[in-house]
Amino acid sequence: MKILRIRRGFTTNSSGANEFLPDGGVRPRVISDAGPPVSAPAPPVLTTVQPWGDAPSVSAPPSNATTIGVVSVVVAAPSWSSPPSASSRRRGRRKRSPMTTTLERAPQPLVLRREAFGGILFDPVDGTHLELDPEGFEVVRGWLVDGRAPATPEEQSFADSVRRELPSLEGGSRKVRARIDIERWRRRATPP
Amino acid sequence: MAPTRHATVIASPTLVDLQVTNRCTMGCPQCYASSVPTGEHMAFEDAERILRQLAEAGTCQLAIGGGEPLLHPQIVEILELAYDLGIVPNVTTTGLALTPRVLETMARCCGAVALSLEDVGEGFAKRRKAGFGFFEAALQKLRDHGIRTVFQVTLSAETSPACPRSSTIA
Repeated sequence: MKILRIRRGFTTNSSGANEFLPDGGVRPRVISDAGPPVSAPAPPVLTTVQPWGDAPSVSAPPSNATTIGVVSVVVAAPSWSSPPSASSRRRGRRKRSPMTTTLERAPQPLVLRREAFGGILFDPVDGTHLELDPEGFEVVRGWLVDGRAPATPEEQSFADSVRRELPSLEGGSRKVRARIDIERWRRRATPP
Repeated sequence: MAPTRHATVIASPTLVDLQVTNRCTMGCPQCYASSVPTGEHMAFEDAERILRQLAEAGTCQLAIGGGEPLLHPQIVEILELAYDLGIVPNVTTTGLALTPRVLETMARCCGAVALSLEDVGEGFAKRRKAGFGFFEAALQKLRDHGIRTVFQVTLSAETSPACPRSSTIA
């Protein structure tokens, strides 16, 4: 079981170039295949990056215009201090106070999607997007959806590696909810 | 041995661009969206239907643009609905119409907000119906509200020479 690919950041354009990267700096989006994410920021220079090859969009800019992204403001990511519990998976209400900062926002639930290659785990807190192989997806699904602890040292090691990539899972008063399962959705959408 | 890339075909988009309006009053020469001051807004009912479908499909992020999306009279409701449905809304704006209500909503709901920037100083004013002070004021508002901000540059033969100047803002 393994993490197949990691992306980070909030994307303001389907080119994939305009991303806010949670650890600041100016660099192209991070894609790592079967390996750890690149964590060290590159020098602060403008960088042209290629469009996403696998993120379909409703609309896209015409070929005579290309957008690039420059990261500016760095906002610290929230942290949590206790392990996730069943009650903590229920989504809380958002705060509605004026001048709310990122640190004060109640996090949206995690997105967990089954895919042909395994599945996707997306954390709306910092835009971390993990692509997992089938075995890894099942471990994460069991852990986050069913509250099942990793059963073997290998599963525990894998869960630890996912935790390292999703700092918001560390600790755990974080609300965790698997939002969608594409297989289930397909069965509903396609009557027998 | 080089790692093998896994299949990247996915069941539905993880990121979707949503053009909620083609209205904009800035008249930027580098605009590729054919935005005009008389442009039309997407009906909120249409936006709601799209967002619910995207949520059902497991879309993770939304890139909301235009036109100037903040001119949409229900942009706050659109951002809040996306957030409530579990989709992270991101917005690209010129900085126009950054009202306190919009800023508060973006701080609460948005993953990041992109501010258009093609040049600095006088070069900026040539490409906008506003001086560079307009951009600086908009950036300050976003920072004051703790909003994660990205600078978005539309590259063309005309704008690319200004990139080194624009990069100094970051």
